Amino acid sequence: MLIPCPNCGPRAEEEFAFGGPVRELPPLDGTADAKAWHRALHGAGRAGGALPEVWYHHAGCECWVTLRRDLASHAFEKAPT
Amino acid sequence: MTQPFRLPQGGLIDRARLIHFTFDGAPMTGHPGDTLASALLACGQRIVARSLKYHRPRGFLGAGLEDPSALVTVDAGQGRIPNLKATEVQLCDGMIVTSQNNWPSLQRDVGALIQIAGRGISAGFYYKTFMWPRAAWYRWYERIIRAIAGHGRIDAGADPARHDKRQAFCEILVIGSGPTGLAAALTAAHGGATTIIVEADFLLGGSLLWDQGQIEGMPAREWAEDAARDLATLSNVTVMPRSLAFGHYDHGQVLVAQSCDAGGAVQSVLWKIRARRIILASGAVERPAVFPGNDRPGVMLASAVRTYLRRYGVAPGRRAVIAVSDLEERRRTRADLEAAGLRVVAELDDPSRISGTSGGLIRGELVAVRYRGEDGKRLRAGADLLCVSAGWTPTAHLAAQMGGHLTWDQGANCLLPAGATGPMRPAGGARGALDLAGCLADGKALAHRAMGELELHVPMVVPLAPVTPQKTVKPGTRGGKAFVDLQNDVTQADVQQAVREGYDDVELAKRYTTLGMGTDQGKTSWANGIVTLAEALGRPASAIGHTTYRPPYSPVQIGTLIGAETGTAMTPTRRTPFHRVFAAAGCVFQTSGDWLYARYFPLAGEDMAEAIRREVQAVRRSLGCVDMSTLGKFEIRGPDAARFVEELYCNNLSTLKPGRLRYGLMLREDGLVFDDGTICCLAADHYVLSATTTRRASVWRHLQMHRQLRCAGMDLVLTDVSEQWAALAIAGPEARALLRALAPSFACESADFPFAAIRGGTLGGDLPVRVLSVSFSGELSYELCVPAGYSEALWERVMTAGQAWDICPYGLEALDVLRIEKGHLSVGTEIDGRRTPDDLGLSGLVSTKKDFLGRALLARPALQADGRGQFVGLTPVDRATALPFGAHLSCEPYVAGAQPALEGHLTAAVVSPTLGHPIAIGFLRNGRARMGERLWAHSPLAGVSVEVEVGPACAFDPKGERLHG
Repeated sequence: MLIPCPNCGPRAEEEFAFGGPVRELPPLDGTADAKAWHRALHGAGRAGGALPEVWYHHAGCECWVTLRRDLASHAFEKAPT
Repeated sequence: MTQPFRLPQGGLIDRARLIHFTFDGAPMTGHPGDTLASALLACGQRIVARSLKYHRPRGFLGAGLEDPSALVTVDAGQGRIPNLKATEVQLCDGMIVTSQNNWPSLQRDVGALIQIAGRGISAGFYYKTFMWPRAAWYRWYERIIRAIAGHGRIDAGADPARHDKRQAFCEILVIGSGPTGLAAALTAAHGGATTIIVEADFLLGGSLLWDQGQIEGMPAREWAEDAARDLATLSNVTVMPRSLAFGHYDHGQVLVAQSCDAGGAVQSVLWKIRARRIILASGAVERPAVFPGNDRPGVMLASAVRTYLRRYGVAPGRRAVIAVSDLEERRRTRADLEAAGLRVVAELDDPSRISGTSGGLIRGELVAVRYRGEDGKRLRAGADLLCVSAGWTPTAHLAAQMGGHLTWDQGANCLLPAGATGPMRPAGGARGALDLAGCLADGKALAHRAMGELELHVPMVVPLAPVTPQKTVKPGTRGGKAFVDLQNDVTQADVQQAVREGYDDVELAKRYTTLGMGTDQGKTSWANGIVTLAEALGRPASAIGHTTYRPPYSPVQIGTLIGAETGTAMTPTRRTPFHRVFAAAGCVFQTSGDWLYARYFPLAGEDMAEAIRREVQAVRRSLGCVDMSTLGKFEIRGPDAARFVEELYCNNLSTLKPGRLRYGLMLREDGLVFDDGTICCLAADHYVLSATTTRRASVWRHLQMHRQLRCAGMDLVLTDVSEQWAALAIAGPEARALLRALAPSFACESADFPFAAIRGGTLGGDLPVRVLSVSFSGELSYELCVPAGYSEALWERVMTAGQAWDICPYGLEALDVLRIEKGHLSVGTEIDGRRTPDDLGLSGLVSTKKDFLGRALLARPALQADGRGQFVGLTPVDRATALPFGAHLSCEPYVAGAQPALEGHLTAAVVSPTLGHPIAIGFLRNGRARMGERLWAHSPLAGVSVEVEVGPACAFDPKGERLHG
């Protein structure tokens, strides 16, 4: 795949580590229990279409970037600039 | 040997030079410009292989990579390579070629007797026949079948050839250099696009090299030469002959295998080409006809015959029958044959009029063709060459590999690709435009369109060529074997039988009959397969569909895919800052991840076990030193540094004061232990964390993720300083004496510099240093960290001053023994991604006063349940029998064949030099409540079962008094 890094431009997949879908994790303030974390971490069912994901550009800007990708076609939505 | 079938003139060969090679030991000759196939044909070698299943004699059906059966083993000085298509191999001097799948020889192959049983071994034969008795499958059937079936044998030795990988980028990639490809490349190149054109053949031109026809007033071949010269002069074009585009991947990536000149630095290069638009000009493959005996040597595709005649100046026979469905193709075939002086004894407008072929008594090659005349009369023509064609099949494999579905077009009578698959645009023959003018127009039009899409020029609406209509040719008749797939010996009857037995889906029929499998990937067989299936099912061909197309389109050597990444070049080799001085000290190194790490330091005449024992005893008795440079070291600075560290580790860190450090556990979000290490507090806003060597990259990624995605608002800076520091730990009862002798700029007595503290300053007044009082060995120990460039100065001072206490450098082996004696954890063995802090006996570290990553999910019932494996130590009851590494624990001794209930397993086992007997550590169900219990550690692999006693994980100095000196 060619991954459109918002900082570095389109780069080869080998330069990235995959971090899974974007997860809204509970804050670390002691309020959330295992159930809430389980839901946030392991996710519920996903609707079709583009899925927001995080990628770590280790061979580039060293940033965790958020990109939307269609899992059926591998098409990335143009990264917001 | 002379070349009796070489025509007196013509062909793109250099007749002035002779190339010598051998085929099955017989000396033969050819010329530069020949392929192995054309040279073999010129020498009269018409049979070159035996078929996969029936061991039938086979020759050349095609002249290029479409040929299904002429597979040979070639040794061109770079190892013996099996299963090469003779039609693809460029002839070179000294080649040793051998035929495959025959015994004792190609001409007299015992395996051919199988044909007598012919009817018995139809599709599904193996599945149905070798069922009983079950044990006989392994003992007899499989061995016999493997000996009979198959192609060439691989050379089990190391590959003497060298390979490499490279990357390239372009705006427009053109695959194929026939009329379509050349037209597309010229258009793109003259339009200013960066262009790469790849061609599997060693010459550009494709069909232009042998087809009649005029382009721009000159013969097609000259136009091709002109175009090639033109492309070679343009600086924005890269021309890559001998480069097979075999795979199409996401976002415009095409993998290309390039063969290089013999004697060069490498024999092949795997190119990863990324293009914004790809013009697939891979042309079309002529379709053979299905009739009885259609596999005899001498039966050849009309286009192949014309290629041998016109490109190579070789006559594939003397007397020819033409059976070509297309009028124009038939006319040209006759013209080419006659121009070369061959006799055309019969001309059929429909190959399905052929009712059979006759073969020579001994060799089986074609001697006559039986067919029905115009009036239906049965006729027979003596001929050694049968030129067949049932039309053309577009080569759209690369478009289909990325999921582009091909649809059967009734008018074109073949599978056609969609107009676009991602950035790929099939053009010319690959999308069914078969005539020369159409191909040229198509290449040009698609190049213009691509450049318009890329905004390299204004959008241009250039019409594409129409798809060429083709006649339907009914396959086969009764009697004799009519092959649909020559490479896999699949007959029309096999396909019909598959349908009768219920394998009526195209995917099922493929698997049941093996149609379209193997290295051939159905190039010549799929179209006929679909027609045959459609007929057997009574459905239209358009309802059949097709199987999945996968890379590689044509075979690629494994060596090419691997590239240069073999042996020690597989991964980078990393050396620590102490490597040079360690090597001078006689160190034996071992690889540990990417690192070359000190394993042990043998004295003269000492073996590894002796060296390890001596090193361990030196540390326990007086003094040793060990390299700690490979640990990850991360600095965190800023007002929010403390808060950030608190979130990452499960420990309570609010009591960690500047100048002190703490052993910490980092959990994953799901509550399992991720890594362990030290947390050093240099100042309220300045921390240094360490990470295990093997987890360095993943811990850094984890820190970055938490920093960037969850704590973006925090005011802090993260810096990876792993490379900046060299670290040497001095350990042993005399460690403080040595530190004192190194003259630190800070107080180092126990009251001033207790365990778990960090001090910064200099050694001897000039060597900048950070010293950590931490211990992995359980002895009094200091980790001396200096800027990496000063590693050798540190080593020199430590070794010189350490002489007073016989300082002993030690390696990874002794380090491991020392930590197992102490029951210290190691990532990968104990911290294996399945352990909670409590499993490791470290629940005391987990803070209940704060929140941290992993806290919530650590509370999940299963992670708190009774019966989890707990970290314990184990000692053999007899204090003598060594414990097998990785042994399993159960309550009863091991009995062969029995499956005792497992209670746990060992993670590490050594003979402790300090205690004088074997010890082990491992996980045991509810282990901490079972101290003193006797169990059995057994390893069926090692054939050992030892009675062991459960004890605490720490076998030596359980109170940890030695830490303080």
